[in-house]
Amino acid sequence: MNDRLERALDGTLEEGEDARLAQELKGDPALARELLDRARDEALLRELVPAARVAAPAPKSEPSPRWRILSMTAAALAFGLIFYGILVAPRATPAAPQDEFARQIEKLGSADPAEREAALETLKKTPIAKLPALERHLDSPDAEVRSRVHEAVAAALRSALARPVVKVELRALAPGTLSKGWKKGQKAPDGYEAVPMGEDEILVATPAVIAREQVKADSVKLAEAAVSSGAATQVQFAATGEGDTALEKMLGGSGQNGIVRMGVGAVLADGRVIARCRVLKGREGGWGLMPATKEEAGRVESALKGTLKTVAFAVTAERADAAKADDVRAALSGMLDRAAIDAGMRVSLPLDAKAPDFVAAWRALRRLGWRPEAVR
Amino acid sequence: MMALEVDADADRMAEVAALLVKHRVPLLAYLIAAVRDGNDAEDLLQEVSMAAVRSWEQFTPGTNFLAWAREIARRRVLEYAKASRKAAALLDPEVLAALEAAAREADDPPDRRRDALRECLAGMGGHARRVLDLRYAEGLSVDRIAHAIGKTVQSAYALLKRARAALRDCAARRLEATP
Repeated sequence: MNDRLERALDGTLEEGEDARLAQELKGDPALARELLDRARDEALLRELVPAARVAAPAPKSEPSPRWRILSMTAAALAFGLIFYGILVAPRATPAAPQDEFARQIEKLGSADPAEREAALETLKKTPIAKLPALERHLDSPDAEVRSRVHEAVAAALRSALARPVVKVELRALAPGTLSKGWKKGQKAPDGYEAVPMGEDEILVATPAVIAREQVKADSVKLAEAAVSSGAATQVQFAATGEGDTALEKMLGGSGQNGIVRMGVGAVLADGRVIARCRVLKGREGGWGLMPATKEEAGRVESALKGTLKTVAFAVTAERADAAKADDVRAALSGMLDRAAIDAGMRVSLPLDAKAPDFVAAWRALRRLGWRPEAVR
Repeated sequence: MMALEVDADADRMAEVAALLVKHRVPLLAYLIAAVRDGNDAEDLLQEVSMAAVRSWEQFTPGTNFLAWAREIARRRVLEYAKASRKAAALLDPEVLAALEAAAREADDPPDRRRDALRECLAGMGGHARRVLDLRYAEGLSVDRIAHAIGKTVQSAYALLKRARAALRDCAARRLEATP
């Protein structure tokens, strides 16, 4: 029976089995409960397995790439993150026709090494917007073709890394009970890290990016609702130098190494407001947000328009205990990523600086619903 | 003041959004059990979430949110059944009613099980972990997992089955050890 339930959830029941199972489910509450228990585990694994991958601990001596954004070292960012978007991705170049792709793919499996190499070099130059044409060959049954397509996709993505970096990041603030007894300069408690916040430091949970999931349709509204729910109560912006100056002038915040960390009046996605808020200074754990007037948000919006470089969403555990915060983070992460994608915003995913897995990152982006074909 | 009126609406809508986040796993589990396709279930969950946020006025604070959201989910599943080309036997309204009844009994928050599975997952390596990654992080079907690891579909399925069984056993042991 267990095997049959498992196959039911995998969608691999034999013909007729599903009808028999349906009949049994109608009259056997214990069986229905067992199916639901299995489905709950499926739901949890869909959340936990990707999270465990993202959260795989980095060696202690090597700060995780995602944390390097805090020190804003451009080189580390260039190798630590993959990014995409309307300003980041290469401008469209004349497209190779589909049959040309097919020819090159075919040549990847050629018996002639020179022909294979030439095809690989050609495919490495594929513009990001055209990479979906290679996508299905990532799983080619021909091991030679498969490995070379992986190499081509990785090379095409790697070529984008010399460009400016944009990051969307989710973080959990430490609960008030922890941050109350902690002072700047002290060692952060286990599971938390102190990060600069203007003149101060705040405690945030590690890792920064918790989980990503498929989110579809109208996510901007969901993100807006989630942010206004108080689950996401902190937003950090890093603008370009011009944006920094505008923000500092307006909000009296402090910049550090070209990055402004402060609560501001709107959650923006390249000029589009997805949530309005205003700064609450002196709140436990940093800057808080609350709904702002249109005028307040508008001022910040116009100051930042076109200058936005980095946005980090912080999720606070203030309204839920620490255990529940995982749920909030997991769900919001997907919502906000998707919202950013919907808004045409640039988003980044963490990559191992030493051995970046570009293909995995590519697949993660595609699962989030990113459409490289739309890249200008 | 207009801002206050807007805030009141925003608070109610926000409450619904926060409850959706809180009850995501049981809702997704119900949808997975109903449609038996994780990706379709995730899509449906998004539709349910949007429908719930849009109809926040119909939810009475203090009442059973999960039951309310599951009713929205049930209606979405029936719409899905009409549009689905799959065999619809398990999408029968009576089967959904049986699942609904089972779900009412299983409305406990899944926090402890999540913690147990997370710990078990952290201790898992080798082929078992690889197939779980391919299945749940990469979202691959069993056929594609087989291709990725260079095994037959039967072998890949057996590996996946063993990995899930190992996780379930591990989680059960942990839950027993920490009542």
